[in-house]
Amino acid sequence: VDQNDRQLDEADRSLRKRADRLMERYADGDDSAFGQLYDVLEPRLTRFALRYSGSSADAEDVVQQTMLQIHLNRHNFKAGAPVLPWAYAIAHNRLRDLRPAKSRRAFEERAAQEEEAMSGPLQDVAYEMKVREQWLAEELQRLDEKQRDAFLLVNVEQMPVAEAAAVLGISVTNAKQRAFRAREALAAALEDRER
Amino acid sequence: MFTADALHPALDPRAAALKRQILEAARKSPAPRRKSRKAQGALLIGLALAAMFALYFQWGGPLNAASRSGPITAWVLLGTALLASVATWLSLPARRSMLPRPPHLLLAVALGVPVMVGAWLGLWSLVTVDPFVRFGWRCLGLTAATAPWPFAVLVWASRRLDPVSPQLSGAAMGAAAGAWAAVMVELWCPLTSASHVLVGHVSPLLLLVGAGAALGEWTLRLRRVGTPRASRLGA
Repeated sequence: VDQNDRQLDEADRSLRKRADRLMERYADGDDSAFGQLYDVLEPRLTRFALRYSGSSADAEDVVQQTMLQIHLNRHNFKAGAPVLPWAYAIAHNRLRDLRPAKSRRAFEERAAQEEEAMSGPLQDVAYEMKVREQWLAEELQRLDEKQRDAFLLVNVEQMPVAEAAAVLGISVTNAKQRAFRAREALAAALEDRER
Repeated sequence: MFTADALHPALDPRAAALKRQILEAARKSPAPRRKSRKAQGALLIGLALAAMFALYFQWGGPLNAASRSGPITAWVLLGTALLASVATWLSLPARRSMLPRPPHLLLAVALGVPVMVGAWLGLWSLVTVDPFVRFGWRCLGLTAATAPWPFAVLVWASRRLDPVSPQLSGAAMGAAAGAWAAVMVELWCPLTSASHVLVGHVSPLLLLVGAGAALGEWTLRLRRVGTPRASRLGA
């Protein structure tokens, strides 16, 4: 597990460095870097937005808004600043604006559509994974939204707590507490489910 | 189910279309490349200083505080300028960050600056005697007229860039701008009595914190880019 964690950390660090290098190039006027920066940031932003809102349409909108904000503000990008927390903060800002109750509805609609669409030999294999994913997504939607924000950034996106706190505009202690409470709530829900 | 792979360009034509749309939108609205903003910043600071000094002389200049001794004036100004520098540093994002300072720091600046300016001036009332009595309206007016200039410089430094806490950042910038205005006002006003300091020097700072919070929401908040929703672009 430790080795796996170390490898993950290493991969994460390398991705961050790559994103920072690409952003530096783009800010300095190398237009070709934007596509590559998109490829590095998009999967993370999409995953974050999907988990947050449960709606692929909202996730696409958030990715679009975030990338265009990065593009339009490239001349304001400070040399040596990390791009990932900034991108997450923009995405989170957009997600907060989208946050109405419809996100839960969108999640349920999407889940129903995917269930209908699912067919073929992989159906059985994928079913258990799908059920688990769906359960987690539903529980995430049930969490207090502040706790969910912190949990998604700290535990799902594996962001350092200080960085997550900066993205959310809260103190480090607060971010830790919220993520901890979310984990506790999810653990309790899992216990109930397995009973 | 909700995995990033589901939208990865290599696996999903919809994701590939989204990428094309974003790159196309970026190409259609070119953004300037990064260049040194030092010259622009220095120019704005120069203009702000010129405006502040013009107001100071318009208000009567150094004659108003002629009765106060030079060393005391220097100490009062030094303390306030130090406070203003720290407040400015804390109200802007850290040097290598695109995100604002933690909210508790911004709040501490917004609330701490008026208190510290009041306390600092109040301290001098122990060793000086006011040469005349004034309620403080002119100091309030001079602060209110002087503060917008440094505030404009601070807003310029991070306009439309705050995705996290624009109101708090604005409040902290209002306090920092108020502290710079206080430097000018204290160059002009020799009075340190508690009631005068409260009305003429502390209350305008509180007003500036409130105005900064309101303006921060308007000037610092990141705005939605005017594009149609991705889902409607025919992805």
